[in-house]
Amino acid sequence: MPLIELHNLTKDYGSFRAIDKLSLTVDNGITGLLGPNGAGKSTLIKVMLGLVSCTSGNGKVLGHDIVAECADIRTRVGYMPEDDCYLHGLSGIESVQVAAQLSRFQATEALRRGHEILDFCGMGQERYRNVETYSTGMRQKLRFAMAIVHDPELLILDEPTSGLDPEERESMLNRIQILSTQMGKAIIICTHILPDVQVVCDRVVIIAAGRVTLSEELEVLQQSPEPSLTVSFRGSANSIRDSLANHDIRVKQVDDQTLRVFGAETETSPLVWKAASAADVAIRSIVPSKTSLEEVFLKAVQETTDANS
Amino acid sequence: MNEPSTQPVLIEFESVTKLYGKVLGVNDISLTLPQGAWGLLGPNGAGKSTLLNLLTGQLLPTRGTVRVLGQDPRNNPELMRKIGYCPGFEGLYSSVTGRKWVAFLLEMHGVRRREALERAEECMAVVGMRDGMNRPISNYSRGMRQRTKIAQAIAHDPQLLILDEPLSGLDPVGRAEMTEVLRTRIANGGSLILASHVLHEIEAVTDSFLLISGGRLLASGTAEEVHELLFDLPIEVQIRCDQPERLSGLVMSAGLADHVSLGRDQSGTRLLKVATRQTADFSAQLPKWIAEHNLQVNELKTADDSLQTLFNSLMKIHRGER
Amino acid sequence: MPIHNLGYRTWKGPLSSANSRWTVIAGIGIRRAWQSMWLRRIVFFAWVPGVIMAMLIYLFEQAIADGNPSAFAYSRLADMFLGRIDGDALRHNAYTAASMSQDLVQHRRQFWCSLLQALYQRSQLIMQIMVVGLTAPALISQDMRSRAFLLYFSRPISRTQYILGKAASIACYVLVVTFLPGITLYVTGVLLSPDISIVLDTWDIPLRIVGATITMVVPTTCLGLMLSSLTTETRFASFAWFAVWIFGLFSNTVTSAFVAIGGETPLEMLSLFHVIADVQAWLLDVRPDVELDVIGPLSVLITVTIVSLTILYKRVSAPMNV
Repeated sequence: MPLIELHNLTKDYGSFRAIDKLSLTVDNGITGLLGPNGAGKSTLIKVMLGLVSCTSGNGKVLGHDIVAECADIRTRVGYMPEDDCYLHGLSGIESVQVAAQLSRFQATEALRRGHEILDFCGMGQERYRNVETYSTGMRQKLRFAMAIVHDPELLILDEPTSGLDPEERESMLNRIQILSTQMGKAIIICTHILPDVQVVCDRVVIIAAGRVTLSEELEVLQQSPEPSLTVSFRGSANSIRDSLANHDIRVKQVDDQTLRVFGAETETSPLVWKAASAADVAIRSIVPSKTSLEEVFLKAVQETTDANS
Repeated sequence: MNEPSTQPVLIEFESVTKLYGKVLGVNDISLTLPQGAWGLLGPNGAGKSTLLNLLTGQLLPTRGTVRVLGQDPRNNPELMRKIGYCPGFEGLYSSVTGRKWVAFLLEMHGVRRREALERAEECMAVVGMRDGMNRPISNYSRGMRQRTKIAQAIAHDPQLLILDEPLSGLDPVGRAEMTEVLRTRIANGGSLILASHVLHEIEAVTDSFLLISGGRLLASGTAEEVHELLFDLPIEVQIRCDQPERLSGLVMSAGLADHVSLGRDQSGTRLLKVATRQTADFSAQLPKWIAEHNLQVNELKTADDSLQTLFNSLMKIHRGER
Repeated sequence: MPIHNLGYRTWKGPLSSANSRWTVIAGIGIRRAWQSMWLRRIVFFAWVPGVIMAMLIYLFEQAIADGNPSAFAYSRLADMFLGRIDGDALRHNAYTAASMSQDLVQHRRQFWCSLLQALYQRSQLIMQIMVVGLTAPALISQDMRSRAFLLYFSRPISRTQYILGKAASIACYVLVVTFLPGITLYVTGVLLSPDISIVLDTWDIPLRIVGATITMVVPTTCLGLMLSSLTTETRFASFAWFAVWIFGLFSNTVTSAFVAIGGETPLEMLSLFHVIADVQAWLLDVRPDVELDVIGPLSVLITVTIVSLTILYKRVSAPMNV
């Protein structure tokens, strides 16, 4: 049974239509929710959490109706907001404790569990300091901790890595993966950072102009329509391109040092090596070509704009 | 560019230290950068904003001297005409339209009103704000405000563009478009310094970077240059080959690797990982082996090519963990 | 088993009741407010007027015991604290009538009521204004500023629970400053009186105290919360809160001067302070012989409460609808 089922949701703010007959199903695993700004992602999340009521349509989250049973939904869902929000005047551990208590934990259990979760999030003694003294990265970790403290089955993370420096970003993505693969949680990540999606997500959903434009497994999306190799050289690729063309192999030049070689790799790869060695140019990397997620995204958004105009 | 640059040196820092009372901004930075595109990379609170403020003359160094394009940036309107700055904070007037705001800032550079308005229109179109430029800024979304800031920074066609997290808040479409704008400028001979903590943003625009942490400049250059200078760090190469055992034997007997490991990846394909310090020799030998022994090598990746791995290694060394 | 408690663990356990979550929110408010030094001082000194009133009861009882009702040493002290008759039939105290009479014992109950009314009107109401002014403004305005709504309402919390929790943290301190001194005064009186049968005579006084407290707590808490919810700056809310009372004071000065020369005006209702005092005087039954027109003041209080709550609910829902 899918975890989230939404049918024909529409939400109007006055004359502005934020979500337009949106239908979506989400299963277990990590789903990346992408979309241009203003496409309706935040509205969609609010509708899923029951924070705003939709103008029409219906849906179920974890088996609960989004209109009638939103309190139940919010008990089982953890939400990490994108905004820099915090509870004023509290320390880190107190914030997590309050978050757990608001999710119906008892006071002592909330405190104990809070410490456990802050350990998992990599927060040390700074948990005893006032939240207002925290840096952006620490606040983000704290929001993440507040989202997972009550052990929810479904996590909705809005821009989980946006303020983090490279090391923290890796750790955060790691944690998200652990929660999904080892703990079996379903996770929805809304983000603009496509490389994050490539690293972590199983599935990609693209929302544009209030509708779902694309909902597909990441692997399927990244498969190149025809097999090809992307070869990158330490030097100019021009001579190699020419010699490959002489062997009747279709080649596309991506930039000065990179070529895309079409054809079965068993045939093309030896020829590439020969040509490189003959031209005395070292090969930096050879990888099977993947459609970049950026291309997929731009294409999907473009199609929506064309369809709407 | 309006005036061809006669200055080969873009930026010169000589033992620059900036302290805010007891709090450290930057700590003894010495740097000479030639013209080109540079990414300024570092964790939060590392001193990126301090460094950029020193470059634009908004801060005076506690010690040391700063030279941009050969001049002191402090109180230097002449120099400011050659520098474009896209700040991290939002300092936009809310009731004016985007176009008028950019034009106003242009007028402050001495451009006449009519020219300023035309030029503002051009620049807003370049950053993709053709539709929104005549709406008041209070109406703009975050992404639109970012684009307007970039427009303002490029409007007077500066030699040096300084950008503080210009892509934050933009969706992937916006990122791709703005990255393209920056790449075009670089291709046309402009210099830029791009501060960000998102490595992909920097990688998409330029190879060269400056790594700063705790106010100290840790390293600068391209990933390869830096890596070569770090001793005790072999580069790991991942190879997918049909005869991995043979290849590993060849590599080890030629003495070109510290160690090799044979394993499988997540999908079960056999992988050979070679840790070597002689990348050049290895790269030269590999095609010969392939030809001699009829090997099929269909995948070759150098694990350390990404800025992420290099960043991790550098930070570990910096903390004394390696 | 070698691995005990490593990394992330799932959680299963008993959940508390969903309807008592407002206590958590109240707890945060109470602890935060307690950090204010001034609040602690006021809470401490709030008992002082009560002690003075208790002293008066003691002297009253002494006078009865002495059997000399006219040489009242206490009457001079009482003059100091309870004031004399003024032209206002509503607010002058019964003690003066009692002091005229020779029969103190008969007027004991009225004396206590007038003591309570003086306690509330002269001191506790003022203290309560300070207490609410110190606790209420930050409660909701800070939440709006730090966007805490997203954190609260993404959990199973309803708006009512939220508002109830916030109100409870104010009410807690207000009750300490108003209800507790009042009840303590009553109990002191009972303890100091010659026999326990006084309780039968005065059993309605505790209920009246409860009523008077509600009159003080409910409208002021709602008003304070509403003002807090209207802005993201705490100091504006504080200013607005105190401005309401100062304005009332001024308007009362003006209208009572007007009334003194024989006019009548409904504008007397503008002073919230006096409105509350009027309703309390009615509830505490200070002057059973005087017919008090309490409909006006009562409806003012009810209107203030309802309007405040409506605005409060709207403001609390607003951030979610963006």
